[in-house]
Amino acid sequence: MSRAKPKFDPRSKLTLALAVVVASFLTASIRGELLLFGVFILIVGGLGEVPVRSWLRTLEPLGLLVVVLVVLNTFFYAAGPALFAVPIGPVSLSLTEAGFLRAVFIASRLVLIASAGAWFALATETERFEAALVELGIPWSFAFLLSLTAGLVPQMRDRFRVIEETQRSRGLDLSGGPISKIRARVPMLIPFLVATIRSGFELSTALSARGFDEPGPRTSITTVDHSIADLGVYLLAVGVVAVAFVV
Amino acid sequence: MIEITDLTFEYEDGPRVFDGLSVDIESGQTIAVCGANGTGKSTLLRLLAGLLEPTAGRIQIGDGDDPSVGLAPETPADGLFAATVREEVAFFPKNRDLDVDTRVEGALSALGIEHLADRTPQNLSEGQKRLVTVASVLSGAPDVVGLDEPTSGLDAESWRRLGERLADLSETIMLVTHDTDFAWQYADRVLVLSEQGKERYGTTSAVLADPEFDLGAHGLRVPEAVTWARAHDVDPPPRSVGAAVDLLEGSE
Amino acid sequence: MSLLAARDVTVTGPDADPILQNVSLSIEDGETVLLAGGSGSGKSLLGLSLCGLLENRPGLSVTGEVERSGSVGLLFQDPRTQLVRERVRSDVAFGLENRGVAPERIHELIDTWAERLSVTHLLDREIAGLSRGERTLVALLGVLVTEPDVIVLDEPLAALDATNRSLVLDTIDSLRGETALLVTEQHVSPLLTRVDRVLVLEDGEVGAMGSAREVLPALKRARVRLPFSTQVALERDVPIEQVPLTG
Repeated sequence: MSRAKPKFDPRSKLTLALAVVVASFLTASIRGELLLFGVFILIVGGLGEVPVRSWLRTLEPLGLLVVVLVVLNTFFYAAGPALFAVPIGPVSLSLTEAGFLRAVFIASRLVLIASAGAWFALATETERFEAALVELGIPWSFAFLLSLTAGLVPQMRDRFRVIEETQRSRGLDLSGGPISKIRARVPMLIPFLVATIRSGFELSTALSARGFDEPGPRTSITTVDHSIADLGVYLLAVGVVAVAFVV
Repeated sequence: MIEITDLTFEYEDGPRVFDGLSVDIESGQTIAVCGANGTGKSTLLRLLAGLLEPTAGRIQIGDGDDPSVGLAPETPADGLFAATVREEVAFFPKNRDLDVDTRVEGALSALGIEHLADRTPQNLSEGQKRLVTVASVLSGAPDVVGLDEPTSGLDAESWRRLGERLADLSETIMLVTHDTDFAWQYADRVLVLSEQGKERYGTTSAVLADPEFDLGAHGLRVPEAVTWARAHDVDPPPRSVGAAVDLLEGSE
Repeated sequence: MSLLAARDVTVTGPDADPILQNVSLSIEDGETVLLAGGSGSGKSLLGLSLCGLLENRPGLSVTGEVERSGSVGLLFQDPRTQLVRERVRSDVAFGLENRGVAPERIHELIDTWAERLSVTHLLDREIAGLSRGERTLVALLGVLVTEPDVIVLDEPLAALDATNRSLVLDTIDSLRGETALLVTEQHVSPLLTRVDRVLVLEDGEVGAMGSAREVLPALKRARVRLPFSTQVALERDVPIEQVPLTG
């Protein structure tokens, strides 16, 4: 996804994302979480750096996890009259309204937090985030490590896909129950691990070759500067937390 | 027979890669798929192997419902997981319930790597790894053998051996490659893809030795044999060094 | 004093298998040298050891001496290895940033060299969206801006389409005489007439050294891919002085 010239400083964006997370923890009701989410969608749309649709699409993979969590938590937080109960050994798994509502609440909090993280990742160029961290006093090598890792994830994902497809084309059967699914993935884990470890060595060699170990101060062509617009973002962050107190 | 009819494909968040591509490929042929970067060569292999679903159009391989298409990846190490080469090459035939020992021996000897049978695939040199991945696809006797840049990293000897073996195979072979010299010597037909789709599809000589066809515009080099032939005023250009030598000696 | 010199470099692998044996060579200022060898001949490792990057490889034992009297840059076989940032311009700047060069000077160097390589149009792109050939050019640019005295290029032509191959070859031509270049390759066809000297590696040892023509028999033995015309002439036992080196 190509990005337009960034309008906002990574620090203000980080503050906003963190404010959403804090607000999410301050809110105590499902309605509150949903309202916050709605407010956040409006903010994201308004700030304009990340198209709302692509951002929400990145949350799709969470779908399955959310369903699993809701089911599990419904049983875990069971309280009050049971609509349906299944005894398993010494305990009894009950489906209760209170349990279900609590599970949905937890899930909605998860989605809100994940969406804040996803927005920040999409809205921020890694090198600008790196520069912002350095401005905040974090040692460069650590900040760089973070941005390096961010870049590695898509690479690893692509590599895994190639590996999986190669094995599937050689007749690897991925259907069947969870146990056989896991066993089936072993032929894919080995090349993946080998490739990842090898990449690690190659990367460290490449970094040395490019002067990573050079002593002395380092410069950067990426600078982060606050502008008036960032004031608006900081205010939005405060506003989001304020909303959390109200709902 | 592979029948590709009106194939249209686009990635979820990406551009349209194919828009109504139609190609018919006869069984048993070796087809080189060439073209500049981004024209969908590897995507075509993945579509053939059923790893991707066409957005529209059809791919029909043979008569059956469940054709087998084995793929050898561009980076050999991405396909190697076993403790020995023998085990690696046995994977595919085992999954297809074939006679494993026969298929493994056959594939190893075809590529001249019997001496590597007990070595660990991930510890071999790049060229050796490449031969092992090709063997591990051949061993499964698939309907179509798909190879992504198979000559990358191969020395002259392995290059020749791979080509000769592919030419001998009765399976249909699709090779995605930049190596026009390899295509020239060992492919029966060449499919050139461009951003517009199928640019050319024909016999190797018709595509790679046609003076009117600007290979460079499609990111392809004119095969060295063809350049040599033009410099020596020889027509048709010889398919191999041996043929060129015979030609020269014949005319003396 | 040579720019790069290796004396009796021996590299042994994890199973005590010899990879390089008593290799001695030197690269002089402004020379363009081809290190030819088949797959597994040890040429990549030799390139790494000349750059002083073989220090901490597990499983490899390295003996011998390597001396450098100038700065060395390395273009890795898989360019993705050495690209560490999200955007082209900041990746190219990486090496210079590590050396503490002032940002204005960094931009100057980037713009000058990008123009020389005809890749100015790539400077604002994202690395993830680049093709293999484009990545090679960006990685090369990242090395060139640090203006090293000698550049080691490890199989730079592998997997490149015709257009990008020409660009890399043109760059080698334009640097010839100015920067010392050591190119390791297996597919030597386009390089025989572009280099001052050829070293042939056979089974980890330097089998021959001299002009391209002088080492032709050794190149053939080393199973390196030679140009078509060359192969035809060698097959016909044409006298060495008349064997063509291109086409």
